[in-house]
Amino acid sequence: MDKLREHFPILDIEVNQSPLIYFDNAATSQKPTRVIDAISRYYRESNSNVHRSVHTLAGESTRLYEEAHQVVAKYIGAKESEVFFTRNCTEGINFVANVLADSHFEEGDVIVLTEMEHHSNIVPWQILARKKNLKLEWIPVVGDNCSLDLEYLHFLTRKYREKIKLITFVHTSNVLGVTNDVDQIVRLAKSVGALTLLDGAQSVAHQKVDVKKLDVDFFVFSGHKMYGPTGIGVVYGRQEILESVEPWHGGGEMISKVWKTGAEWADPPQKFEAGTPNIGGGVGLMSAVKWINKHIDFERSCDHEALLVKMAVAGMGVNPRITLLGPKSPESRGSVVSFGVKDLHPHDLATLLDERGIAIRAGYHCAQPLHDKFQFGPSARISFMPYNTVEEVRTFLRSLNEILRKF
Amino acid sequence: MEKDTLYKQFIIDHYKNPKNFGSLNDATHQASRSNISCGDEMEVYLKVTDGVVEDLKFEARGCAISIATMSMLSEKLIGMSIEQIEQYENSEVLHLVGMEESSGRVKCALLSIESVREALK
Repeated sequence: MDKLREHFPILDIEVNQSPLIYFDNAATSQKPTRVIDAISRYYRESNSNVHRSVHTLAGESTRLYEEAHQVVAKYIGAKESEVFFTRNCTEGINFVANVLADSHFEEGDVIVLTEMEHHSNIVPWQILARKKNLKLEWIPVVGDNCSLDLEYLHFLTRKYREKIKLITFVHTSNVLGVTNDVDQIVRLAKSVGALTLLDGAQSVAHQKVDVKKLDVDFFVFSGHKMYGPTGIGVVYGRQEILESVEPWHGGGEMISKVWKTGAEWADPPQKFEAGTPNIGGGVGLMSAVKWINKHIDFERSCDHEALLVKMAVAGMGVNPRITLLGPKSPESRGSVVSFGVKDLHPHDLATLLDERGIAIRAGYHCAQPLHDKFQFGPSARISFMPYNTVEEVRTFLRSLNEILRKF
Repeated sequence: MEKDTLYKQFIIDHYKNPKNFGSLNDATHQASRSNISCGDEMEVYLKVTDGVVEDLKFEARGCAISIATMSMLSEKLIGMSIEQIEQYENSEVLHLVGMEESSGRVKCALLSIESVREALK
């Protein structure tokens, strides 16, 4: 794993006169030199607007941007026509809410989500529900290992039947670290004809995703959590659905013809990318995928992250002042450990760790309903990527203990 | 090490034993404010007589910075006139706790003065 760190120049910086220990990867990941260079090289050598001109540079940028779509589609096992780029995962979810609004929902219909959702997969549905008078139902998080209560989902399908139009849930929780069983939920959704939207923001960086195997109707994620730049996200939508829905954003690029009284849409995926896209972002995302394909073995990296989690959990578990939030078994935590400390607010802890160069996250991690459910105030969170090390976890634990002795 | 930390001993002391912590039965002004994203909540009670703050109490749940700042600020504000409080600048509040304006914790510190301003509206 040390060889991996060489790809990340930012990991060598000092923060407050200490070496940076970056444990906030669930918020955003660091980027390898290859990705940074690819974006920079694009702007230095190939920059031009896509699709619009016949000159050489435009051809070059268009080729790169289209290649980015091909590479990303292949990465998640989708057809090119089924994948388009957005600004981020949140925008992707808002897209689905907006395009399905009139075609798929009528008054009284039901959207099912879960207690462990990120605000980005809650608020768009609240907005839609208010607009169209829909009902939101929540799958509870249950048990020692914080699983989704599928019996309750079963109950909901029996209660509402075809009134359930959409079931949306997170693949890997950014607070609990658990990865949910997609198959069973998809099966239950299909049994009542409901569509499924899977939020892959946290999962794409840590496992290979095949949208056809997952068999969901929509899959969304951001580039910046998987070694890519910010400002670029991806929506996968099943071909039949993307062909049938009206576009969300209108403008240049997503049309084939425009006259005073109307316009003809371009085919998917172009149909859903209006205006000049984040070309540099697309190039960066492509580079990130290529980098992952070359340098990351997901099995090995997951084992490594699991080791770091196990160490952290073991180190913190022995302290009676620390309460871990999430599954009992460290193996279920993926690469995330959220926790609270008695008589020490997570913000204070985060600042005290920052003074020692350690970056963690404090607050609700955009998951207030989840914290409410566990009656947990704001929490602290550490989250790993394969470039984090055992030594870093040791330093973190040592610093944590020092801080707790003083406070 | 003390020199380099935001959490100097006097801050810890004010956090662990905040001055003027509690409520006022005969409060003339009162307000609640919170930084919801942080989980900091504050309620201030003021007793104003003839335009002067005779007494001030506060109740709070949250981080050490928000509580320590309010504790220190409360000592300063008792005895001040409303005009003087209206002129009390954010930078002075930050100076009380030794915080740079660029600090990531500015919102936590300013919850104190913002609650007081809210109460005096």
